Amino acid sequence: MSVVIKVDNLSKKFKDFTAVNNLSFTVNKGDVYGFLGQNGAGKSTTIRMLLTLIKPTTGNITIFEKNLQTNRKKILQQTGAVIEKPDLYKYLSAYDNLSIFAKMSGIKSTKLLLMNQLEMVGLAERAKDKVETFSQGMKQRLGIAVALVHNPDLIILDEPTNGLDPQGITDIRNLILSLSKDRGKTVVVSSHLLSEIELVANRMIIIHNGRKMVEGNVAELLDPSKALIQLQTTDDIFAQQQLQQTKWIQFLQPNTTKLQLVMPKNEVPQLITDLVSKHVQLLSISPMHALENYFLSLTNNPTTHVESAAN
Amino acid sequence: MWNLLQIELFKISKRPRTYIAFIAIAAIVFIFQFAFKADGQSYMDLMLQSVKDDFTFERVKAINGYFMCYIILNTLLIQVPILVALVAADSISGEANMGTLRLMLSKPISRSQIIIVKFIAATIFTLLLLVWMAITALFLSMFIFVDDMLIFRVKGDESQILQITKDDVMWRYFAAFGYATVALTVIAALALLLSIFAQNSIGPIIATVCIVIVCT
Repeated sequence: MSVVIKVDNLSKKFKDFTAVNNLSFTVNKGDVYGFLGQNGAGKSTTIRMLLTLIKPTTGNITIFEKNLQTNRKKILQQTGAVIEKPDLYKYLSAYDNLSIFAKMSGIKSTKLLLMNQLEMVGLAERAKDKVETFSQGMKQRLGIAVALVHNPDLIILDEPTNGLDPQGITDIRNLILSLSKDRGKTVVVSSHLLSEIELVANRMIIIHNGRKMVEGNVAELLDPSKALIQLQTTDDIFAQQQLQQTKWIQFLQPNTTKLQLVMPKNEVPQLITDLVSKHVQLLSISPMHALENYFLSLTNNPTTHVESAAN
Repeated sequence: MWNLLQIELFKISKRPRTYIAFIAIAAIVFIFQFAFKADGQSYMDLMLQSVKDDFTFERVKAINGYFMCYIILNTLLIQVPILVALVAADSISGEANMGTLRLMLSKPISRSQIIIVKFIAATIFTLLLLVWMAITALFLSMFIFVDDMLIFRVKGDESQILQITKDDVMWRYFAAFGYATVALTVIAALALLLSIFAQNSIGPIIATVCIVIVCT
């Protein structure tokens, strides 16, 4: 399976504030990749870096196997995005907005193509109306049409269901699923709602305070029989080396700041026994219950830090 | 680049504020033309007061199309830069305020392309504004009034009256409009520069106008 996005040790600092801290993840072709985190977790900052709106302080971004910094134009030709809220020209009609952004994306659009695009998001009848007369939901749908007008291979949607009514949310959800399943597109969708991600994404990442908490297959991560285990040892590097030589490597979460494993709860005692037999000196082992509970604990308590959640 | 310029001009053409400049110029010009048509002689009497004992002018011909254009251009010295700033200072900051700049930057367009295209569009707008001024202030005045030699009082020396023969006037107006094009393009560039640093268009417009007032 080819990798569409590869992010390595990405960090972004705004003066003394670190918005994204050493973040690494990969998105495969055809994935609907959920980007989950509370407000202020660093999702939008990461997405802005993926779209070259801001430069990373450190780290590397590779999209379509090309370095983003040196191949910006080529990559953005194949990328469509809705960033936070749909920002459109309010004094122009829906059709004109779509036409303008199609040209900016470098394609020659026809009236038929643009009308089909508006039809897809249910705005064909309002094509000639100015965007300033649109509701938030209609703007959001037009924003999605703008993101898709040049038929990109990678679609990045930052909180795409914001401001939508339940029917609108369902429509967007179905659209995302259809883009992935029927058209083979790769979709990155960010949200602060786990339920939202759970329904559309096949893979996901949770970030908190700019750091990766966990990444993996949604079905596996949300399996109630599995738990997120956090280990604290006297020598984490040694412990990691020992884990990599055993079957536990499959559960080990890569590129996290602490030793974390997502694994079946009933295998935790065996893990402890193995670690002790390999002379790993354990200081603590913290099962975080199911991932859903873990995420909810972060969501319900905005001041919660990973460290405090672990201890 | 051509596509982007077309988009930029399309956006300018769709904004109501673009037409404010054209309407404002037309309104000022028409007011002047109406006023001089109705009571131009009083103004001419005042202007020629210091030399009326030495010279005799045929008053009706002294108020002609060239003279009207001269009066209007002098009056619009401050207003036109404001009208240019109104559009140019909004071009980046207005997009930033609406959020569309972010969407533009996520498209395969470089930042320098955006700046260049916006500058060219602001220059085209400035040129159109000057052409409109030439049509209304010069050609329309020539149509409404007679065309004759240009007589005006020299600035700074109230006792001097300068007269330029009919054949010698037109090229001077073309030169004046050419000079105005350069000057207003500089103002458009300045407004565009200030626009880069702001999130709304009010600040850059006010800053540009202040600089124009201080420097003129």
